[in-house]
Amino acid sequence: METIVRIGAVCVLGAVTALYLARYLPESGMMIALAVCAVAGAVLLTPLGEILTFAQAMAAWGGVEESVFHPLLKTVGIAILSRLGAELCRDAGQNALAALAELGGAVGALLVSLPLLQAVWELLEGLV
Amino acid sequence: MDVELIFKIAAVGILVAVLNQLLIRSGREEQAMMTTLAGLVVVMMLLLQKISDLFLLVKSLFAL
Repeated sequence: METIVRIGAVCVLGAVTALYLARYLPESGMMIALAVCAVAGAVLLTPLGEILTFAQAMAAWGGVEESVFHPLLKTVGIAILSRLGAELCRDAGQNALAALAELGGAVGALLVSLPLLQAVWELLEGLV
Repeated sequence: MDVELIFKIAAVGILVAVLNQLLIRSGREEQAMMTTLAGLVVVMMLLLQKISDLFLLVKSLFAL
């Protein structure tokens, strides 16, 4: 709980500093946003790791094979990264780059879940 | 949670902004641009290491 409060405080602090500095130096606003992303992101990932290990234990207990659960895990990671990158580009006013980052995320997610799709396809072929 | 990085970057930003205004007011626009560039490079060096650490952390966490 305390981490969440700290992350909220750091984000608000970064936003105010960025807003203030952007008036004199436009680039520094983006720099501070990047710095806060790096610092708060690093702190946020440790609890996320605990959630993921618990989810993996649940999947193992529930009989879900590793090959099915791994793409899910990777898609979550890809989604986080591409979302962060796209929003940072949008902050800097580059909507085209943001769209490209989101496209990259989508392609990455699809690529990761390709083996899963093939497994479903073979299953269907077997039925027909 | 090392907040020092944010304060370091804010400090460099403020310093460069003040120097920038100082140089522009005294009629040296080119040097003002150089100072801004130097500030940008310093901040990027600070940041790149942190950003790569974040990406490595995400990579290892999600087994990407």
